[in-house]
Amino acid sequence: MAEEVSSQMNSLSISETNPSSSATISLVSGDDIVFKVEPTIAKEMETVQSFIDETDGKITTIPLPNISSHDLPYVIEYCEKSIAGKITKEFEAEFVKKLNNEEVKELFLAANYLNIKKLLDFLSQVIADRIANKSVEYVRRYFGIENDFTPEEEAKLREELAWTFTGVDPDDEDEN
Amino acid sequence: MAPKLLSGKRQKEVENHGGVTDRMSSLPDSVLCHILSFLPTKTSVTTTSLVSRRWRHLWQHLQVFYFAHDSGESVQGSKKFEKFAFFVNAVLAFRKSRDIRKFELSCDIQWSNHRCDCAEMWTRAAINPYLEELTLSMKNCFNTEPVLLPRSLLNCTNLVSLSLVGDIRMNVQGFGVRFPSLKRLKLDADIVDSEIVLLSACPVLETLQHNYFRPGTWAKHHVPPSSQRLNFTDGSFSWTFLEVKRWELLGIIGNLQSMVEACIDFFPAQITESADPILNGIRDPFNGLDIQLHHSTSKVKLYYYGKLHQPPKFCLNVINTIF
Repeated sequence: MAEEVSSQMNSLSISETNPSSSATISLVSGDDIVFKVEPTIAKEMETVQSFIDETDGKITTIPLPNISSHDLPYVIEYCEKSIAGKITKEFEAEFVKKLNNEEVKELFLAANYLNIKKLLDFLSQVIADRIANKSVEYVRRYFGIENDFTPEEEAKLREELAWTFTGVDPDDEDEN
Repeated sequence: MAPKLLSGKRQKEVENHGGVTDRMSSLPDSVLCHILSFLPTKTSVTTTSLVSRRWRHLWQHLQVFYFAHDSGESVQGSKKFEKFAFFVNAVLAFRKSRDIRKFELSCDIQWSNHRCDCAEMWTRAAINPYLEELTLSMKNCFNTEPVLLPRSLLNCTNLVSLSLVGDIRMNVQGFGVRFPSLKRLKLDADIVDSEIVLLSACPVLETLQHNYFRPGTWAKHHVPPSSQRLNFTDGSFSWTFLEVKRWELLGIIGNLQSMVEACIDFFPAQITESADPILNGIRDPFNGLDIQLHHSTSKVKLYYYGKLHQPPKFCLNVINTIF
């Protein structure tokens, strides 16, 4: 991973010394770092591509205020693999191994903002895997949601759920 | 006092994580629903609906459902299935979005006629013009009629992925079947009445996984035994027919226009050794076929370097034949 980041940084420093060749697209992260990417990468990012299309390709520097320079290389890496048709289960497993919960959320928000369908689906699966078989409280914490049920309401709701979805006779199988 | 604590905690969260959790919580319903659509339906309904008022009804807008039931048939088994059936019925009844894009039903139980009726009814509920993925796995249907898929499935022209495993039947012959979007197909043997008709109806198929390949069922329709050539049936796919050791017939389909990989199961892993003579038998008369054996997976890759401009790639996973 460190290597990939540093290679990303290399390409970054090169691109900074060589002002833009018209073919590349400059993505500017929220903390003002410029990432030069091939137009094919930009195509993967629907939000970026529609911005380019709207200006008839005249504007090739695109500010992405919601995405930090920490997250953008991950997004670019995924898009590169996707274009190369090299998204494999192994790659995805390695990719996600590098990410903690907060980073997964950050990347999910980035993928949602950039409208990258494959990445969004992949990260949705990652999040789903991380909250599956967890308690309601864990899900609340994960998504930063305050419980706005009163304890009575919640108890009643649990009872209703048990009845509605497992038939009369709620019992030991509720956790399944 | 309490609200103050809460805001202090939130402040800390913002400092620590740049407010990422807050931004997650303010995502629109459609995006949260998208995440839910990757969870087992049971979790979406019974866990995430308790998260908050806003989340309570999110699952009702799901267009993706995964139902899985796996019970060793014990004394409790029957009761367990009743509960499962109750759950599936309730979910299908309470959902607000009528369109189902993805439906997965997996039941590993002993089937009774009543249970088959349930499975058939659920499948009917899933069939709609927007259906993109259908995965059905019905195992252990001893002593019962297999689940017959409704003909309306053949009208699901947006279907991209179809996976049918277990005791399921689908009749396609004579119905003018057409799956113009189907890219992935997984089938057990004896599910469709004619694999040829089905495959002819899938012009953009990319991945075919066929378990329990039985040469006879593939061969008898189209290719005369004397023919050992690459044949085109109706132009939508090609067919290589091989005669191995005089009595054993092996058909290989390929070049389904955009097919990337085909897996056909042909013999169980424990008799992999027996494959070698067969494969040599295949290799000899067909110099154009480059056969690679992968003992570890019992998979065999076949590459055809024929007259076609782009050599189609076959992956032959050999299982279950009579030697």
